[in-house]
Amino acid sequence: MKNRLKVLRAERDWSQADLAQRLDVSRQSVNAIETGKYDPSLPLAFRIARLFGQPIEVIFVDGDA
Amino acid sequence: MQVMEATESSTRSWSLSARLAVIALGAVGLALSTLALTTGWSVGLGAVGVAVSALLIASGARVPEGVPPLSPAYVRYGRRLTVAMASYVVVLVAALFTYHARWAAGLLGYAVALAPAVPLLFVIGFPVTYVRSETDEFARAVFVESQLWASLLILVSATVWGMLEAFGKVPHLALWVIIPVWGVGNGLGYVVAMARYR
Repeated sequence: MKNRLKVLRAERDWSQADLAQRLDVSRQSVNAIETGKYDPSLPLAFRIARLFGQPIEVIFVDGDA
Repeated sequence: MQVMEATESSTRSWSLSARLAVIALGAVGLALSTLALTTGWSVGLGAVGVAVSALLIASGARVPEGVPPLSPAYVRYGRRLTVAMASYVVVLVAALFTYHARWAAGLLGYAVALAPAVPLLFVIGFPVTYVRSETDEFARAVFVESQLWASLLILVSATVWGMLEAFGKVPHLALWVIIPVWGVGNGLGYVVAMARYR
């Protein structure tokens, strides 16, 4: 699943490690999600949405829709 | 300062893959050493092999503090694994010594034979407690996948070897060898699972 995580992170000048720390996950998790190789669970997607103050569907793009 | 930097650098260079490879190497060494001990091929070499293999496993399982991506749950898992494997080596050597000295007879013989299995039963159970306590869902997913690869390796090895053995094409293997095979499977499984995310 595609997402805007890298852009949102860059806008805030956060590194992957910074974002990982804010989400309480590993940097590898952030990297895997960012590159679209791992789709986060719904609870983690909500946490990401809350952190960036945006709806989930703005951050994650369903390619099949 | 230079020493500190060098230490930090060398600690960080121990990636999870490298540690798992060392653990797998230790597991194979442990299996061969135990074989040497149990068959009576070379008690001295077997004992040294067990000690060296245990050191390899312990150094591989040792989790350096503050090195990403290790979570607190994985640190606990590594510590439990180290303690259990160290206990296994001590109990195994004691049990073999007791057996070869012919001190164990009757019911005591069963207790001595089962004693080395006890720490391994903990090792087998630790992944369950780790997965339940791991809060990083990505780490959990990778770990579970590596466990599946390990199960696959065990089932494939047992099926193929079992058939070959049944037809007299290969020698008999003791069932406990599935533990080192499982360890190798975990290490290889982690590498395979992580490859998809790189």
